[in-house]
Amino acid sequence: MKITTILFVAVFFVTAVFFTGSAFAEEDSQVILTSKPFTENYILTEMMVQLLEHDTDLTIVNMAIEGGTTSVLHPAMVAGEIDIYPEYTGTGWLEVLRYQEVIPDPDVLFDRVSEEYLEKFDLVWLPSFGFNNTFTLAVRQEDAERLNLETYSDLAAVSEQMVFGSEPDFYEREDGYPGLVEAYGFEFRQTSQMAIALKYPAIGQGEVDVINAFSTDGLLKTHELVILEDDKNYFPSYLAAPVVRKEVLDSHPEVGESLSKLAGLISEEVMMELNYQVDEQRRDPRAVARDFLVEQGLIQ
Amino acid sequence: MEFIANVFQLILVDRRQVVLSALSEHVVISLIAIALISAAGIPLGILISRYRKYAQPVIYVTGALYTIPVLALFGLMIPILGIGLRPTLFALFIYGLLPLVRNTYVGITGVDAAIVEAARGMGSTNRQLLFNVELPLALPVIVAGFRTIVVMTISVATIASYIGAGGLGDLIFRGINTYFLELVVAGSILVALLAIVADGCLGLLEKYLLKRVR
Repeated sequence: MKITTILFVAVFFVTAVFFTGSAFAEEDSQVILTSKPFTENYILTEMMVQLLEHDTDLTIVNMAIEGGTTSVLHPAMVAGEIDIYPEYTGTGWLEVLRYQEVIPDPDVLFDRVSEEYLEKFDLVWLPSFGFNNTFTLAVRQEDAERLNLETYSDLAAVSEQMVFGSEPDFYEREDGYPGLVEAYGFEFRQTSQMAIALKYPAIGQGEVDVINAFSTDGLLKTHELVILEDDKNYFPSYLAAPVVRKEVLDSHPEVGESLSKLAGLISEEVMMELNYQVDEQRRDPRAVARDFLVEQGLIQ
Repeated sequence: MEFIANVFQLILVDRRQVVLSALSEHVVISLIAIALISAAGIPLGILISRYRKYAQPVIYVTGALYTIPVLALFGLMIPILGIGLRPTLFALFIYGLLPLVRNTYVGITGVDAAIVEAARGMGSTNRQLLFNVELPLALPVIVAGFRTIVVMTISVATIASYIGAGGLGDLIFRGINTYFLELVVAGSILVALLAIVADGCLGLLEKYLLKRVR
């Protein structure tokens, strides 16, 4: 008899859980944000969460999806499981819309991407945060000064003296190493593959001389690196902006109004500084986002 | 030493709020999953001990499910079940099924045939035989299976944060993604502690149950 009782309790418990679970899911005034799993995206999402909590009466949920690459988040947006996340124009263009041609002008690319997202997926690109986190090449500051390097073309002229280091992925990507070499005629003395986290120590210690990086990496600052200018516009631009489900903006216009306050507010230098606070100074992304919003007078 | 101190500083002071909510999410996810597994696994184990020609196929299928790598399972399920709690529970359920079904089945079929014979001879009905003889005698084996799924579920639930269900995995993945080793270690220690504590409590319960049975 005791065991039947236990079984009944178990079944009851399970049913109860399912009912409460579905009750939670139905809530209409709930807005779910998420981020792609890296520092910069964590910070941007925290900013949006805290701003929306301050400006609206909606229930704001920050859902951590640590496997949340674009290939996971985009379908979840389309399915209405999440409402808002920060995305980059180049990623939307190449990975989601699957175009291969490169549009050099960042603003033109932004317009094309946002038009197609609205038309195909009912998703809205709000105005960009104001920075472009593209792939770039970085060298040590002392080398840049000694060899007078400002652009990729300058680097190409002295590339036979340099060792290039990158993660394996970059050698394979469509917009990665092979195309880069073709566009600029680099002839590096040697190329070297390593894990992403090891790239910065490697160039800091002189094992390699050039690495690929993201233009807003906080660690560029730690290792006294400078980034060079892509003078032939090889890499697509990656303007960062909030992507929001149109349905959410229609039923809660205050969401769009609130998030638009972030438009153009974050330059590449500012974003790099914020990333640096998390990656190097080990601050909580939540606190970094909060300090920024307070500093800008957007929250108290 | 300083590293360990940093880890505890992180857990107890700096990220206390985040740690507490991750811990409670982890406990809730694990509890729900364990309830689901028990509600299905024990009856299924009993059922195949009654209808033995289905025993091998059922154990074979649950065993096959058990071998799917958990990340692959999530990848396959995202298009169907989406993200969040539902696919996570589904994955944990599939994983936990085998140990419990198998142990329930083995426990019951392992009861001494002479005892079963004697009970029948004294006129036990099927129901009495199951609830008064077989299940009590199989209890140690079933509880052993239960302990296995509890520890396993707590550790596998770490991956829940991969698809947005929260839990202590949040700390671990965040640590990896922001070059923050202390956070990775903090999350790992808490998962391990949780599993050890749960297993310890069940060990005590097991002792108590065994005393009652004898």
